[in-house]
Amino acid sequence: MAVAGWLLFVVVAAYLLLSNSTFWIYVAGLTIIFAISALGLDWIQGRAGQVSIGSAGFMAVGAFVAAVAVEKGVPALAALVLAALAGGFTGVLVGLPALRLRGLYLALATLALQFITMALGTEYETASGQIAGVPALNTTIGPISLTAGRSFFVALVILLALVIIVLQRLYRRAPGRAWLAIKENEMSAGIIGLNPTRWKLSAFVASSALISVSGGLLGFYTLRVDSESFSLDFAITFVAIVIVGGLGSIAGVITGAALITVTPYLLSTWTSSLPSNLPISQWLSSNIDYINSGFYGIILLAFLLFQPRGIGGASRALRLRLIRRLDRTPGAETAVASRAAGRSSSTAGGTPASRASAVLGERKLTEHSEAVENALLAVDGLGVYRSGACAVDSVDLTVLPGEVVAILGRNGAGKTSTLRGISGFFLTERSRVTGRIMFQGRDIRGMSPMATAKLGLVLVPEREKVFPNLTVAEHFRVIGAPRSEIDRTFELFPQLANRTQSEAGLLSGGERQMLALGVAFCMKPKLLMVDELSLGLAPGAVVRLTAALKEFQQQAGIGLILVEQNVSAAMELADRVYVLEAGRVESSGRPSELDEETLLTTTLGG
Amino acid sequence: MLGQVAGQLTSQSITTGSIYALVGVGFVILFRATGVVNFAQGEFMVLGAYFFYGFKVELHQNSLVAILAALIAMIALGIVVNMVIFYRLVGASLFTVVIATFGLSILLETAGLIVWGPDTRELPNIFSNNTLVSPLGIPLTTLDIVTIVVAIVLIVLLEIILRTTRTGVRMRAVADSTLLAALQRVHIPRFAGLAWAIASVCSAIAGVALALQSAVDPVNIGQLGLLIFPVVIIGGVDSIIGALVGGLIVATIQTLVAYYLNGIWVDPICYGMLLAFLLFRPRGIFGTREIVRV
Repeated sequence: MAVAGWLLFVVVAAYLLLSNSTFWIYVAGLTIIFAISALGLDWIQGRAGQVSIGSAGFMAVGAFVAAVAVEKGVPALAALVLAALAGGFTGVLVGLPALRLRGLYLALATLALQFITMALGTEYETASGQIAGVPALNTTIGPISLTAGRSFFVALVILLALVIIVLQRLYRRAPGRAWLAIKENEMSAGIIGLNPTRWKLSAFVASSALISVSGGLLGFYTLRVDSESFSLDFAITFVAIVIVGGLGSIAGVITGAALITVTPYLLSTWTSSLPSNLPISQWLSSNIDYINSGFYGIILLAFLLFQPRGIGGASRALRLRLIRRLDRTPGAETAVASRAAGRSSSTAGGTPASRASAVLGERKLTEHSEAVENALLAVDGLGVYRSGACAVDSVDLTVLPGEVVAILGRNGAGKTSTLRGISGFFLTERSRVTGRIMFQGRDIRGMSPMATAKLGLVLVPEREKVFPNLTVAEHFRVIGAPRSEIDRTFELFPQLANRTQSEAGLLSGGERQMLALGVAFCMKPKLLMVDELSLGLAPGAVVRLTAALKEFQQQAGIGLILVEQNVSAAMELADRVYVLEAGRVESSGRPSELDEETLLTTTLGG
Repeated sequence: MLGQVAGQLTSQSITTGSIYALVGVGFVILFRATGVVNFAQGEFMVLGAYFFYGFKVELHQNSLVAILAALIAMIALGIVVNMVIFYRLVGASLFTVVIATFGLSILLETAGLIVWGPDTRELPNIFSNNTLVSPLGIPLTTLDIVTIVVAIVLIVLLEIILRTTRTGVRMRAVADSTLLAALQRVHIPRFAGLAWAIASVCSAIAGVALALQSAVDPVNIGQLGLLIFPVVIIGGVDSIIGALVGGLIVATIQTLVAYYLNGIWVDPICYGMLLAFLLFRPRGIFGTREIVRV
């Protein structure tokens, strides 16, 4: 693959040189300069995971420093070194706070850099009387003239090849792995002895220097440096290149640079070659400049929506599919199957006990299918995968009408994921649910949380169970509860009646749970699922909430699933108990049937 | 009483400030309901002004019809943008969403260029540009007063709707927790569409106001959209009062810098303040939420 890429690179470069087309050699040289800058952006964004829209700013720094240095008599090579230093230094200034701030900080800070460089550049141009830009004429390194032309093109081809080789080596070795580790998870990277601060800053400084050098080259190439040309649109062009090319893929980024730089020229050529009597060609020829100037934005949007991993990601996926197809010989298939089996047993914990319980689970299946007939909820082989990781492996679970079921298990056993899997995920939570979830005889797997809620499946989540900025009274307006229902809730929880006008964020933990339960009651659930009713609450509050829940459940005759870490609270309420361990049902039965000692070890982590 | 220059600068600051505040409020409502940090605000302003120009000048409608038609077009645009782009990106990383708004901004800019071309367009004087009153020596034209009143009335109206109507309460619920709102049967895409429509209307009115003050200038008005970030970060990214105060602060800086220094320093200075806030008071003056920590 790598060989084919290099071959293509050399062939294209050689073809252009032989073609002798001054125009296309110019365009290709520009593409290479943009590709170098885009590789710098990919370095900081695709490898070190920092978001930057500062390409134009850094390129302006490099371009101005190099042009002004050359103007003052500094040799071109030294001027480019100065550009790299200036870029690196600017990178430190912009990047230091990024070590502490996340999210939008770097995006906004690089935007600020963009404005500052533009203003400074304009000021310099005005002050020095070079309103059309600082000239960068007749720059040479040895025999190579650094203006657009064949010799500079050859030099650029070699430079890009060197940059690719150096970056590939860096990414493959310790630095690349360190950046990847930090990008994936900064905290755990710190634990294994990496210093995130040092690595993040080093990536930012080095990539800024690289981007600045490309800016310096661009100035030499186009003979002058004008602040106007380093606009925000220019900066976004590079974001478009790395998104279209695919973050984290060198070949992809170079392809992206070629696509975005060359396409407008091709479109222009194509438009002018159209027969002029067609109505579309008239429209095109009067608007082609606008279309070309917005081309990168349109293709950027298209890729974000339909191919967010870019060309690099798409080709990687294609290659994988090809390999799999070639692999599909009988022998290979069993190998894959056994590998898959090994993986699933390792996620299940692989202890003799869990394997035994799996056998037990099979025996229970016949019993289970009979119960499914009249069950309110029948879950069959539920698997929940959240951003690729298996949270629930295989869970069978039934709730009969009017039954209270408790799900016990230690942290990470898959209790919350089971409830979320039943209630449904948003499409974009990148979660996958497998198995069958029958609610009142209807398969609800894959429905959104809102759709299942409309069917009468109400979940009281563990964490965000109330809206912190809404008052108690407003909570009931969200669901549109009638006055009588609200009054009944306040009778059940008199404590809430005095706090109708306070924001939920100011309530105590117990009061929040009361509010969450009260709202859930008013939604007239057919099946209520409460995640961690007792977590973090005072024993007195737990008793009161449990009593209210029991009373409501019996009056309404609904099904109830309780997820609990507090074994005694659950045992008191539940008709049946499931114990989860590593995403599977470890044991289940009536509370009286379960051995208290195993219960304690599985839930408390003995 | 202020002197002539001071009075003029104050008048300009207040008028521009109320326009920024209006855009900022739209930004805040959109951010809270959908989590989208919208960099395309400026192009929404430009398109609002263009639509108004189209209905008023090209289609010869009276001003009231023209503004209503322009707002309806902008509401439709907001809803379409949500359905086609951002509904599909719910839950995507903040960066992806931000880049998508950049892409949207370029797309809208290109569409505007194709339909209306790059030239600046003059709007007829609907409101007089002569000074009507001068309280405390601050000269205000009829247009200034209309701009300020419309902006403030709209902001107060939005605040009242968010505070008192059921739709407003549900919208705030979505802003607090999308998942919990969905679990309580709130139709999330519908509220996202509503937020886009509100943001779109706020920007459009601001765009028309700016165009009436000078002209329909696609480049200038489009760039002013980026000043909304200092406005909302200084004021607080989830606060409506914050947007008002932030709008006044940024407009005052803009007016003073442009008068005493040079227009090109407006963006760097406002963004310098933005950075200072991010570093030392990331919640802004009135905000409760930070935009820079995950």
